[in-house]
Amino acid sequence: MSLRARLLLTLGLTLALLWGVAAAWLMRDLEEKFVETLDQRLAQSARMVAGLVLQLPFDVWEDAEHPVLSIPPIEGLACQVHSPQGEIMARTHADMDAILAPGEGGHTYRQAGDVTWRVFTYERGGIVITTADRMDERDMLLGGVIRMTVVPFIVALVGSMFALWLGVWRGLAPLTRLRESLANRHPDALAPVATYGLPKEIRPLIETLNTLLERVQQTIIREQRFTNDAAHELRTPLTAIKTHLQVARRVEGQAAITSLNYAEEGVVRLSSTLDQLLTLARVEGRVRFDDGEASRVADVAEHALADSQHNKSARFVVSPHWPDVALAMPRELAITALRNLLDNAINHGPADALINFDAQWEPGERHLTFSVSDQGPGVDGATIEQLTQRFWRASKQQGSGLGLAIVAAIAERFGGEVTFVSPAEGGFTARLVVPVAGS
Amino acid sequence: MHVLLIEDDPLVASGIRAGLMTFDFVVDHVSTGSAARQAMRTVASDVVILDRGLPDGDGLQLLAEWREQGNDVPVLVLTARDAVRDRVDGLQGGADDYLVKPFDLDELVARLHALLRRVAGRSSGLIAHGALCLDPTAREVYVDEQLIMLSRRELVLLETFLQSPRSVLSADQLKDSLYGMNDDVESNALNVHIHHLRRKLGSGVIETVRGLGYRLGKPEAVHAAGTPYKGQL
Repeated sequence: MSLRARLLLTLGLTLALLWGVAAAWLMRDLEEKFVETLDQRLAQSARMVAGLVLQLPFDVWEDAEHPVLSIPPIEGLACQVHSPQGEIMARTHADMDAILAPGEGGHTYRQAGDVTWRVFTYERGGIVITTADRMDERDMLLGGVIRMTVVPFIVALVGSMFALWLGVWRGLAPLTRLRESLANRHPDALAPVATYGLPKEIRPLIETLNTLLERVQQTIIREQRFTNDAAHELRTPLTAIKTHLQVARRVEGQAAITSLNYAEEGVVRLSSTLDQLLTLARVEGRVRFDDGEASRVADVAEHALADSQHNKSARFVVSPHWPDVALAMPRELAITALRNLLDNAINHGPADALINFDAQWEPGERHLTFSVSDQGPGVDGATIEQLTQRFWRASKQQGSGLGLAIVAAIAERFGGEVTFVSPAEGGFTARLVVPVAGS
Repeated sequence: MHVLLIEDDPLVASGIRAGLMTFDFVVDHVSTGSAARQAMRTVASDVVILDRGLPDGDGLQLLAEWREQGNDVPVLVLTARDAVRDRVDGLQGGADDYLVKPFDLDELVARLHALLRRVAGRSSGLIAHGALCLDPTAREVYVDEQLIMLSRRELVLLETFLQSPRSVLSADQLKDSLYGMNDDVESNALNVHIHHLRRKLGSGVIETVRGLGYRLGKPEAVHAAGTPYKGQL
């Protein structure tokens, strides 16, 4: 159900109900008061007549030409005066003896034919006076009063319904405009939604939406850049391979062999980039790496050294005593992260300088810190920020630009972190903080 | 034809260079934008192959500079990014053609020839001049449908003249088309090649413009020197 329909229904029903109850209440009070007022009028008329009759000397009645006085009738009101002997002394209507016959004191209803009367009987000094009202006249009068009251009520009700509809329609117009502008958007458009002219209740919502849009856009840009970079990194060696193979077909002898060698170099580079990309994708994805083997620090460090050293002649200063503890991360990933840090040091440090490879851990601590230091030129502060970006690298000739990104991804996955320090006087230290297994 | 290759990846560059050389192109390779600016100032290149991702900036930046300076050397942009946006950027940035890596060597060569042809205002792949006809792709020269054997340098030199049929070309310009920046050139090498061309195609095929350089001769001056040449190349 739409917000507008819900508002209209709730408010409309409430309004109609309240107006209805108020009208019913008013009607009941009006009717009671009306009956009371007319009854009072009837009683007062009787008392007034009694007062008048009693002030006259009694023989006036005896001397009268007619034994029964006829009083000219007042509209809608009948009156009859009875002597203490029960004779009719005076009356307004000659044909209403039965209705106006003296009865018990007070108000009663009496029926004559199809006309109902309201009768009041009053006794004073032996004289009984009855007064009567026609009920149908009373009802007509009441009907008139009610009609005069109900019309403004209905007008007010209709008016407030219209005001309600207009208010809801205008109040929700910004939402409608917003919905339309969102619906008309190009699916790829991630520009922020304009908040101009929006009521302040909706503004926070739109601002939140805009923040989300911005984040989505940034993610998309990052992913596009990654795809672009990945395409570049994969296509470049592929181009080298293809071109050199085509050259090899066109030339002979040593030139052909040279080209084939180049092509092979391209294949090596391509496959290493692919390996790194796959590793990164697996680390960032949900693939499980557990092989059930504990990753003891000494064992992990030894494997990382063996993996990194086998094609370069680098010299290491390795910690003489590795902490006797296991890491809370798969062995394979710990080795990969350390090997990448060592490779980085080998590639950027001077050929014959020493590389320090160490680990710091105090018993009881929950994290262990590996550190790898080289004596290369180091990097400046702005570059340190970029080191773990995917495909960032110092120069085209060195690696795929994914090594440190993989280290960072591994650290992140297991709640650790990797930090770099490069003092102004040169040298570069990478610190990898990794969690230690609980027991 | 002299090609300036601006490509930062050494492996790709060596491949393109070796490939183009088998098609008789003279290739000079630089790997940075600043080196490319330097080369553009010193060497008269007939066509430029420009990689977009250079270590010191986007190749398109370089291209924009040249176009601003009024340099209209044909430029073929190479890129590993194939998004339509990238292509459009490249072509709007003043590139004459666009090739996505990895490409076919034959395609690269065909496109380079097409660019050279467009610059010379020709629509056919063959370059004709009177009785003379040169096929740039097959690297063959005919006079009256007779195959004439030319050495590689002679063919390149003739091609250079045919590309600019009405211009006077200086000795330096001609040397740039024949040799790379690092080639050792003997001082009279150009004269020797011109001499050979005149011997094989008629003495009027190349005219000497005193003090300025050389120019392609009138179409009617071309004729095969007797029987097809069978001497050493």
